[in-house]
Amino acid sequence: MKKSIIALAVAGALTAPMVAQADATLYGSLRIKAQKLEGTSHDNLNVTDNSSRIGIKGSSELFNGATAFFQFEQAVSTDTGAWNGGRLGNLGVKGDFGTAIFGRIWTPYYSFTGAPTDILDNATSASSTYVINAHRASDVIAYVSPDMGGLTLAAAVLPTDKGAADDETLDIKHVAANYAMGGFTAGVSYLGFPAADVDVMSAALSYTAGDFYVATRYENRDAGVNGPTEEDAYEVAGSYTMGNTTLLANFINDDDNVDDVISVEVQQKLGKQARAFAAIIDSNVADGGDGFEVGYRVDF
Amino acid sequence: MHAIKTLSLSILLGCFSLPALAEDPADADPWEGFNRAVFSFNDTLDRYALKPAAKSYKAITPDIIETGVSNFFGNLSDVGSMLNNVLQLKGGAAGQDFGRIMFNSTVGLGGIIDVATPMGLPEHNEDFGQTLGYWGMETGPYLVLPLLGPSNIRDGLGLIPDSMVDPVAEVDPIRTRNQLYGLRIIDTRAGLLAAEELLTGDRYTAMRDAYLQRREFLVNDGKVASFDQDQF
Repeated sequence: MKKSIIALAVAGALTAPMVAQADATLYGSLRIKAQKLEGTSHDNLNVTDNSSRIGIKGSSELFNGATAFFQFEQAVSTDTGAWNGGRLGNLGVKGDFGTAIFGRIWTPYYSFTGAPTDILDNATSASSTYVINAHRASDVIAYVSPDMGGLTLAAAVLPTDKGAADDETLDIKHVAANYAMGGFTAGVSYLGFPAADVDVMSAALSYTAGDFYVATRYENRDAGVNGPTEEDAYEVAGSYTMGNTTLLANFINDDDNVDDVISVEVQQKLGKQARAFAAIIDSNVADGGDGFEVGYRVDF
Repeated sequence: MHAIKTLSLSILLGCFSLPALAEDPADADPWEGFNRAVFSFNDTLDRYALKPAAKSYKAITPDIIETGVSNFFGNLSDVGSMLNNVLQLKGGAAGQDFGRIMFNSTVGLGGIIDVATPMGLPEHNEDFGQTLGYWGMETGPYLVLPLLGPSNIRDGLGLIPDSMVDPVAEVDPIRTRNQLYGLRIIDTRAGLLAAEELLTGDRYTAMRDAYLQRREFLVNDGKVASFDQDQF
């Protein structure tokens, strides 16, 4: 076969599969850190993954003008170079009526009352929000209202809870609200576990003024949600951005920890999609206390 | 030590000297007689002890190690710079200093590698004398301190709190601390060897004028208060 014919054949093969496709975006963030923390499993310099993830998301228009969307996100590990478990897997529809979303999602509990203080790259951030393991939840049916003059309402049912075998139809009931006005944003959330007749209430308040940001959250867990006793948790986190440099600090008082946690961090943007952080951590949690972390991430 | 560093900056800046402050040296230097005597003492000490030591250090040490040593002490001086930026209410610069210390102390292997500068975190050389200047304290007469070199009343006073926040002073045992002091002095002096060639004419006058201009430049963070274009 002549070379030109081969070229033609190759070109034909490449152009052939032109079928209608929903726009899909491949995205991700690979994150690695070195940490030196006191504690039984951290007492050496340790290089480890820092919540790397790769996902696909996209949307397409429906006949009635609403938008269908999907998102699938996997944890990946820079330790093993392998997939590291599921993070998100959801699909839904969004229109004038709001958003209906199904599958494994970030819960409104996290979005409204956890994320505001989860602003640091070091391991202390969000640790308190992750205690009850409801920040992301599987098999959720959720509805989020449109923005009504700053107010957003959300309701969800989570038919799986933390493994309690029961015959209830719904394992977790969830309602949440978020209100943004001026630089202030306030969020509240209720998670009810009917089988055990316990609940988790949480609230967050954040304020943004130019380069300055501060947020606080409070959470109350009934006895039985996470151990035999009732637990309170509160956090304060703040940041100040100067060009490519951001200074951050947080304070966490969670009954789940034996002591308060404080960390101070600096994040330096190295480019549009790369940044580094260095943090000093002061905590007496069960494993991995005082020390420092230095990390690097590249987003795509 | 601080004065030696100050002197280094003065000499470096000497080549850009604007003659503005030197117009009436009598105003800035009423104690010239005393100063010249101390200067002569310092100069002799430098000629026979410090300069030969610095030259030997430079001759036997590979450049990469010299850079590492300079970076190490630069990282330590960022601590004082950060505190003084806070005292001068310069939050941004203090934040950058904090970032420099954090990254250079960890990724930069204890400060030996200056990773922060290429990351976009510039160095700020703030000291307590500049803080006093920021809050409006006059410099007072020019003063040459024994061993410490060119200064003035305000900056001389500023050396006391500067030495109190110097991390090297915290080093234990004392022997190691003193070795660090010695290494720092030699490192600083070695950094001056090239710049020294720029001093011409009366060394005392040249160094004084360079020092006064450098200090004003630093206190104003590089903003020249009055710029006379006719002089160019």
